[in-house]
Amino acid sequence: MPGTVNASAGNGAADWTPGRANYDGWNNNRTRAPWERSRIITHGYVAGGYKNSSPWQNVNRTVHSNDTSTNLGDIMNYAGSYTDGANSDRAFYVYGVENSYSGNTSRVWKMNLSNASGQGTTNSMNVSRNDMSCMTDYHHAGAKIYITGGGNSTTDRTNMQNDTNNTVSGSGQGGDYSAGAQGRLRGWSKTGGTAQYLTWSSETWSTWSGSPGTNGWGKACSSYLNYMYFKNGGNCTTDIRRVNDFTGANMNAFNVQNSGEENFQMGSYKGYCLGHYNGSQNNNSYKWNYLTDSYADGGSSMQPKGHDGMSSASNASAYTFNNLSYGITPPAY
Amino acid sequence: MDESIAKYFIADVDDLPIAVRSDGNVKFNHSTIKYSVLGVTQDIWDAHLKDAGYTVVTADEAIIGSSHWGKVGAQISDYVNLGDGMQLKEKVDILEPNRAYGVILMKKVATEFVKYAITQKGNSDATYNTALLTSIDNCTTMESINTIWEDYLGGQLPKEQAQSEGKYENDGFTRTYNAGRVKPDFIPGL
Repeated sequence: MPGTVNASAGNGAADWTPGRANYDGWNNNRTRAPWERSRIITHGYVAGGYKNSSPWQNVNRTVHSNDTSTNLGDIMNYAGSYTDGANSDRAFYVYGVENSYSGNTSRVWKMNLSNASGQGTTNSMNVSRNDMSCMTDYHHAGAKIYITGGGNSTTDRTNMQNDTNNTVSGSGQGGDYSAGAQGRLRGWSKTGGTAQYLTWSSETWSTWSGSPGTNGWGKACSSYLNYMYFKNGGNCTTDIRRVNDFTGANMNAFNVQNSGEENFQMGSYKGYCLGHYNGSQNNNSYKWNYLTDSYADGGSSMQPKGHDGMSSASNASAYTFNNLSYGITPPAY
Repeated sequence: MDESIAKYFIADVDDLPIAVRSDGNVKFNHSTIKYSVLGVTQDIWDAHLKDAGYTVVTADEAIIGSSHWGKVGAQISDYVNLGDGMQLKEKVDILEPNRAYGVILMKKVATEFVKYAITQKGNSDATYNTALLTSIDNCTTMESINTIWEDYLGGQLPKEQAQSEGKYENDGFTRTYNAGRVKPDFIPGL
């Protein structure tokens, strides 16, 4: 069964079984929720993106219990073409919003996750970027978002508590078009042939040996299950890899839709692709099962709306406590 | 091109049997609004789809047409592998015969869309009716079919076309639309 990763004792990564109320983390505090249940993702948001050089400013909400996406309208006060997003417990951050295509900028747009209202722009990154990658040290852990790549190797760090952006050690990923994801203790990023991981505790970058084959055009999606997913090529490929989010080792390979520039959204036990590029930008949607690595195509219900296609958009996951009307238990596949 | 694909057709993926939607049986997929252009093997077609009445399109219409969907500019993106995992995005000139495939495909999908609308809203609807089907059929340019998609089917014009038609406010960013633009309210969530 996928996911029986462990996690060498003491390294902090949790041993897990879905639904199990046990915790084997670094402090052996068994009264706490297991890592895989530390947040229950019931819905998510996809914002911006572009088609045919037109950047969008609308946001779609996807409800994970019924795989349905709804257009919330043009609530971004800037559009975003090549963006990347991340979220705290309270807010959705879209990095790199700019009305012109392709939008090299330091500007950041923020949305309240509880009522899906736009908050306008918040503090800018320290450098301008294009298609960057975000990695999240979650709000209930370090409460930081790290942003790198997208034409600048500087690493920005957003403090979720006050939205300040500082810089930490650079990634060396100066090329455009990055893919990033994260686990509990490390963030993982790839640009072109440069693959690295960032250790939260020391904020230092290390070389990622044996990384998947994306060059940054093929994107990545995280999970709370001790692994993450990276495409294994650029534009375009079907090959996607499940990767241990502590060691970076490949765990499994399977195929999904042929594409790059995917809009991946993380769920509790499933991931979504909500639009991508397969020769042109589209609303192609699918979900895959984190427990079996199988996938199924989504139709008009799941597809994002408001336009006839988008890629390179930003995604956020939202939780039970953000809005109880979307459920309180982990949505089934 | 996936040589295993024998049939290309237009459908809402939600209407397909689970056996088609899962296990990678949809080999080609280009989704826009409600409808998708799909490709499957002959075995899947014969087992699940052949008698369902889907509109079939050619491989060129599906593959070339989808990559030129909405394109009004002179160039289209292409990707060149440079080795070492690097890939260069470049622009190449659009060939007019290829753009024409885009127009053909957009007209066919728009026709399916309006036929569906008529089933939802009845034959006497003021917008979604045989006159709109005729308007779609009369489109001969990418600009004209793009306008149909924006005005009636929930799409938006490409930036170049919106700019050339003066459909931006003075800020150069906020879009304006034709009077009478209708969003298809029969599509949930749109």
